[in-house]
Amino acid sequence: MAELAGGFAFLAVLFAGRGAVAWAFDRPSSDCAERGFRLALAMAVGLGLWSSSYVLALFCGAATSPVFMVKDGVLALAGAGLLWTSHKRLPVDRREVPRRPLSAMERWLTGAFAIALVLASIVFLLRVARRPDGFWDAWAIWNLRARFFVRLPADVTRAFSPELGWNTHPDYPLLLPGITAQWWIVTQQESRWIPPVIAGVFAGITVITLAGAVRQLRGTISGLVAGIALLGTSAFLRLAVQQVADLPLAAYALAAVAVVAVALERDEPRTWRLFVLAGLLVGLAAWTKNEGALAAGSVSAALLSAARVRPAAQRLRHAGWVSLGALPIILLLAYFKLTYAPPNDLASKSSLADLLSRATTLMRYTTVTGELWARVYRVRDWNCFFIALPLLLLRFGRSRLAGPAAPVALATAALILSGCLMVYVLTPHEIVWHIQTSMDRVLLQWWPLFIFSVFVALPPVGGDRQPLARRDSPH
Amino acid sequence: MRIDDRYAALPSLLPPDARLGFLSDLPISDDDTGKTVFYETQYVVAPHILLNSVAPRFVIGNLSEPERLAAFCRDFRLVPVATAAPGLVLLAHATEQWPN
Repeated sequence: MAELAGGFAFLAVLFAGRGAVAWAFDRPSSDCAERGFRLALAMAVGLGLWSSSYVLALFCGAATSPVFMVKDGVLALAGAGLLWTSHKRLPVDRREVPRRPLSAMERWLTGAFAIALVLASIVFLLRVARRPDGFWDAWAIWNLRARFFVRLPADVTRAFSPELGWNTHPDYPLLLPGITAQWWIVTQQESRWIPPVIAGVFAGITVITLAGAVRQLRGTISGLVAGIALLGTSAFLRLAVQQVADLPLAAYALAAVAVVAVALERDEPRTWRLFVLAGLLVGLAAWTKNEGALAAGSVSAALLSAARVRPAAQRLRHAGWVSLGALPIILLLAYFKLTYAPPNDLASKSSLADLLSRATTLMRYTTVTGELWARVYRVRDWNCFFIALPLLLLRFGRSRLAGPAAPVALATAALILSGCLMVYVLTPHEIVWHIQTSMDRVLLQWWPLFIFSVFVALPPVGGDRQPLARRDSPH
Repeated sequence: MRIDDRYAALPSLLPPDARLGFLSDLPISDDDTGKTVFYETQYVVAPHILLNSVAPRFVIGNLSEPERLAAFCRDFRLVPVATAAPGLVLLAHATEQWPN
């Protein structure tokens, strides 16, 4: 029975994600790298849908093994159906596309990327072996909630009791607890190794999505350098080992903007499906952490405000498709917030007068920007020098941003960072304590997206100057 | 250090009550060991809810210095019911009747 449940769970994640992604992309993958990019998107979507459907079953009071198997079966079948219809819809071009040999620079960078990936994996495994329970957020928030779900499925309300204290954040969304609890149920043991495996999977999704998306939009060299920049960010690795939810949130925010970027640069009739997929991804970002709602709003706002990219009516349609894609997850989140979640500590501890007072205190802004600068500048954590050169190229090399995706990606990154920093300005907690205990995690939510935005803003470099998205065979 | 190692014997000792009290010789405030110990205990005893109080029927004593247990029990009129590890004890109020 356990093996059967495990098989259903695996198929649900795999097919639900792959089906949704195949439905959204209206052409087959052109090469191995693009297949990797789509597989990373599929894993993110599959895990998100698997988590949200489980929590929906919990909320419906149907937390039994047969129900879980049925819902996993439905997810797998729906995904397989989408995959099948997509394969039927897409023309199969059997002609061999002549492969361009890699340039010396591309070969060198491919080797460097592979070495960085292997080294990062080894460091991750060694550090996880020392602290498999992760750090504070992992066990005091996410895995604690998963334990409530697994140990007391009949009374899900207890997992959100205000008596648990604001330190356990009972109001936080449930993506990670939903995934962890289900693997514990499937494996029939609360293994401490499940959460670090989930963290490793999301770290991999983030790296592959970043490198794959930049490569697709700006060529192989840019994609590889972007991937190396992320793997070379030691805070990325450190926080992955800590198993914080900010990592999945970063993966979803990045994936959403990457899909929007692909859609904008293709400019074809059926790209509306890509915008719907991007909406689903930002919905899952909101399902991961409260800050995910900020990412969702930022993507829509950036799409609406990119005046030079598209006419107003088209921008409105794009934002509408994104909202439609996010809607099912946002509805589930709203039900959770209205029915189960206690008030958020930041909101409940502040009156309007408090907020106005903090918003008009200049010292709070200087404190926040000072702390931000101190972190980003620190090479051993955030390693801003990896992307300093591209930024300089952007500033002094060319005056125009490359492609229509760049303004939207940069605007989204700027909005998310501004929103997060504004939370510090308005926080009811002691401001320095709040920043010191959370700013690195907040930066992680934004960092992969920031690297993506910078590299997408640059023109293609090297042999495949023409973006791959436009080189695919027409259908 | 793995969280559950020290607490391995505790879950099997717990009564069915939804809420359990907590008593420690470490103060629970931000940025100190006491806070970590409290929430580690909460993590282990889930789905029981751990309250930073000795009011509930049963109280978990989690002491960094086990020799102070007797003094705590005297001060709060508690008696040890079972010991999970050195300094990690299930306590009950002296007036309480509990099943054998």
